[in-house]
Amino acid sequence: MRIHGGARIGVLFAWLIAFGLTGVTAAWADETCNSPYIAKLIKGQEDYVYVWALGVDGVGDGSDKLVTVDVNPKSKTYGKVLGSASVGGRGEAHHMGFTDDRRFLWAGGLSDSKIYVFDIGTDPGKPKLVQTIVDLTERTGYVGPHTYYALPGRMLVQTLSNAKDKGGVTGMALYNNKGEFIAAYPMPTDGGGDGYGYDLAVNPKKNVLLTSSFAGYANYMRPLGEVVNDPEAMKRFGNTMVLWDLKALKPKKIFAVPGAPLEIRWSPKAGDNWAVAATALTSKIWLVKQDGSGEWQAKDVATIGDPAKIPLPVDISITRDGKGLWVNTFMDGTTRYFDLSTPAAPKQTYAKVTGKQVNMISQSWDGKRVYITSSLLANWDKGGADNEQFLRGFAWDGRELKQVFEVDFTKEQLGRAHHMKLGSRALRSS
Amino acid sequence: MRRGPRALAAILVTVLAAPAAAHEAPPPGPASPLTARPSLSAIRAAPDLVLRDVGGRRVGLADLRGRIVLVSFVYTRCTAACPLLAARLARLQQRIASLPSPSRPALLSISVDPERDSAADLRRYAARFGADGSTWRFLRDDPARVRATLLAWDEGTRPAPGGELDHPARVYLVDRAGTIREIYALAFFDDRQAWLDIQALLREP
Repeated sequence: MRIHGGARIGVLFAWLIAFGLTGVTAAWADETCNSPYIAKLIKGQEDYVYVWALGVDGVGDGSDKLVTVDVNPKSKTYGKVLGSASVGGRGEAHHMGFTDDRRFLWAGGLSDSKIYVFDIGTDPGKPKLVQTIVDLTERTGYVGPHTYYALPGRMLVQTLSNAKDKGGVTGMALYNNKGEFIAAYPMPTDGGGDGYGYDLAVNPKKNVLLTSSFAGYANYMRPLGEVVNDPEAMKRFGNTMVLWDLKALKPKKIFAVPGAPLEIRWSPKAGDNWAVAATALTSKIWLVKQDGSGEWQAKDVATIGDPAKIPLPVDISITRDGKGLWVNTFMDGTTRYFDLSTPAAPKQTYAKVTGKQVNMISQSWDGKRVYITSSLLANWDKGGADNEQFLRGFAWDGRELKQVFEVDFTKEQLGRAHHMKLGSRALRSS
Repeated sequence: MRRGPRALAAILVTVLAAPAAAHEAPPPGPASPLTARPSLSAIRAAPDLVLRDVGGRRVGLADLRGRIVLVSFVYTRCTAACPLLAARLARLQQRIASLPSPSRPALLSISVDPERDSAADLRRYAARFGADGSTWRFLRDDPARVRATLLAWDEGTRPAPGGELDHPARVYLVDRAGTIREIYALAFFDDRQAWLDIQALLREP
C-alpha cells in the first residue's frame, strides 16, 4: 500500500493530543447531494429532517434510532421531535441513503455492519423499520457499510473495512431494492490504489463513478487517543480517489489525494461535469474534472482554514447551482462557505462557529435553510461540556447564518446526532 | 401562438423520434461515455407478467423466454418522461431490426394508466413512435391486473397534479433466461448503451 503524507498526519495528530482535542472523518447529506437517479427532490419547503442517531448507553433506550424532526416553520410542532424508530441495538449508526424511488431509507452501522431499511413512503412523518439486511460481511468479507447510493432499482454500498484484518482495504456491495445481494466490487490495490473506501458519487452523463478513502474498523472504532499514539495506525488512512467506469464498474484511474479524502460532490448544475472533495487530515479542497484533452485530473485547489490549527473538515454541501460550498470543520466547530464560481479557485467568503463540535451539514434545495449535527464517531467525539449533541437549523440569506431552532439530543434522550436526510409529506407513496 | 403541453410534447416527439442515422452505435473511444463491456449482474428474477396487447391478445413474459426483453412503463397522457423514453425506444427498435429474427429482442411498453389509456389510445401512441407491433408491443389490461403487475415490478404509481401520474419510469433489461440484468433510469437512458448491453447479452452462451 502506498502512503502519502504519513509523517505529516502524525504531526497533525501529535498536535491534536497536545491540545487535548479529538476528531476526524465525516458524513454526507443533503437535498443537493442526493444520487442523480433520485428524481423526487424536495424543491420547496421540506417538512422533516430525519436524523440517524447513535445510541448512547444510559441515554433513552441506548439504541441507534432514526429521529424525525418537524422543520416546517408553518407547523405547530416546528423544531420539535415528532418521533423516533429504534433499531433495538447499538452498532455505530452512521450514514443513510434513499432508494431511487425515495420510498425507503437505508441506514447502516459501522460496527455491526447491519443495514436497516426504513419505509418513509407510507407515512413520511412516521418512518417504520421494515427490513434488516445482515448478510453484508458473509457475502463480501467487507464490514462498515458507509455510503448508500441509489442506482435504478439498486443500492450501491461503499464500505470502510474488511472482516479479515479490520484494516482499510475494502470494496463496494451492490444490492437490489428488495435487499438481496447482487455483487461485490473490491477497491483497487494495484496501479497506485490503496484499496481504501469512504464515499462514492456518480456522474451518469460521463459514465463515471468517483470513490474516496478513509480508514478501517481498527482505526474508526478505536479511541482516537490510542490511534494517534500508534504510529502504525496513523499510516492506515486513505490517500486516494478512484475514477471508475460506471457501466463496467471497473477502475479507470487512481488519483493520489493525500490525507483522507471524504465526501464527494458532483456539481448539480446541468452541464457541469466536475466534482469536489475535502481531505480531513490535510484540510484541502480537491477538484476532479477533465482537462482539455478529456483526461480526468484531480487537483488541490484550496485550503480550508489554517491547517496548522487543525480545522478538520468533515462534511461538505454543494449548492444546487454549483457555485457555493459549505464546509464543516469539526475541531473548531466552524461552518465555512466557499465561493465556487471558479471551481479551480474556491474562495472562503464566510465563517461562523456553529457549535463546540460540528459534523454534518445539509441544505435545502434553494439553499435558504441549513441543518447541522454534532457527532463524528462515538469514540471520537469530544468529551465533557464540549460533547454537545444536537440538530441545529439555520436560515441563510446569503450573508449570515441565523440559528432558528435546536434539538438537544442529550436532553431529549436520543443519543448522538449524525447523518441527516430531508423528508416531505408530499412524497407519500400511496 | 400558445401551445398546450400535449401539442408541445407532440412536437418534441416528432423531433426525437427521427430515424437514427445508423443502426450501429459508434464504437466507444477514449472519451466516449459508452461501455462496450458493461457489468450486467443478475439483479433479480423478472416477475412474470401477462397482459393484453392493443389487439386484445395475451402477452406473457414467460412466453418470451429465450429472447431478450426490454420492459418499460408509460402512459399516453404523459407529457414529459414517456415521450422521451418512447423516442429512444424507437431508435433502439431500428437497431434491433438489423438483427436476425431469432435473436431479435422484444420491447414491451406497459400502460400504467389503464383507466384512461384505451386500446385505441395505445394503438395511436404506438403508431406515433413507429412501433412495429411485433418487436415492440404496447400492453394494457384491466386495472386490477395492471396494479398487480406494477406491484410485482416495484413500479409504484400515484396521481400527480395536472392529471399526470408519478411513476419511477424505469426500463428493465431481461435476459433470455428471464433475469433482470440492467435497470435504466429514464433520465439517463441512452439507446446507444442499451444496444451495447443487448449485444453483450447476445454474446453470452
